[in-house]
Amino acid sequence: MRQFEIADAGTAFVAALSTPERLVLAQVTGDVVELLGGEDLVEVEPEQDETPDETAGEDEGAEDGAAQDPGLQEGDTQPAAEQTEAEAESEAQLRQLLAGIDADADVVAAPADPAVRRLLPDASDDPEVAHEFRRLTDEDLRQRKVDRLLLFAELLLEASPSADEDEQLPMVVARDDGPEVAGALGDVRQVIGSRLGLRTDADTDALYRSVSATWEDDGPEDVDGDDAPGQAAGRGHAGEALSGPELFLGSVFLLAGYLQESLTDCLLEQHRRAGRPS
Amino acid sequence: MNVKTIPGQEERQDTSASVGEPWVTLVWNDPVTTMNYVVYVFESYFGFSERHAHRLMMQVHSEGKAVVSTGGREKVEMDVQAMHSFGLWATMQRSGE
Repeated sequence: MRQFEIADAGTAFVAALSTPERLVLAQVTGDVVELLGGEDLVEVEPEQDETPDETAGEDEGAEDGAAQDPGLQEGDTQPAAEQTEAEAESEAQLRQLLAGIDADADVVAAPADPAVRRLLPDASDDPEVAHEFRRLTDEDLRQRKVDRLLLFAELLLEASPSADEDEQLPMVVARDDGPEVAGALGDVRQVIGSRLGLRTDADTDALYRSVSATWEDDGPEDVDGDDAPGQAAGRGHAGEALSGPELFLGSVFLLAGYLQESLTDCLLEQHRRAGRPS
Repeated sequence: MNVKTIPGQEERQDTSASVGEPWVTLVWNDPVTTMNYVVYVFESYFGFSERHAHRLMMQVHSEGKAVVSTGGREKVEMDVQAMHSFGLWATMQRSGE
């Protein structure tokens, strides 16, 4: 991985990632989309619209399934853009009705999964205020997060995969997409952090030490996550020797962190430069 | 670490600067968000100076939280939504609570 730098006279940010790095990041990003209920939020684009049948899952483009966005394969809802107002309204009513089964009527329930709750936290310790806030904002926030996660996944999968696992392939982020990608990286890290049981700054520091210690011998590319990372690792044991799914998730956490931090440095530099009187 | 405030009076102290504003936005420390991202959000969204953004970020980091905006309920709701959108952990409460 090469960290983000400002490129093309300030019109873009460029990092470089190996093919395995791209695939694991795309896989975890897809998992976060799924956690956010992204399969209902994806607006199907015209070119992906043609064959919404079962065979779409066997598309040859993506490697070993890692790159596929599970949300795009479900295909059981109408594209939002094609809905009439009446349809949208009745669907909203239906959702409200379904939501009412396990929550108070007219209340968007707080997410049960702690990782999702970290992405969509309670806005207040006053339940009335928190409920009202969720009712007003939940849909928009989910949509915004899903959109930028999908953008990030798309950028990760833009370059043709290389047979050389060490080859660093550039990833170009247009200037206007910079904040979106930084936000997506943050959301990915929050979900992994929750899965690894990071509760304090000390937990995170310990994770950095544990993961980077394994790199000295093997290098990060040797970390192989075979299982679905979204379901891996209950409570983390930051500070202990890491292995298996925890090491996999920890490596992705650090990778996403280096990308987010360097991209944020670029964004800050540009923001400050723009604010300075010329 | 906050040595200036009496235990239990922390929030009252924090929000004392906002007399007259009925609601406040609080940003809370979390173990995942990087310091420079918090600074970026404070500078780009609130338009704070580099120095002010850095000071607030350090307050969040060392004291666990900081008041970042004040105003009417709708204004603060908008700020909290923006913070959640950026990925920061933010809450709103009435001034003095």
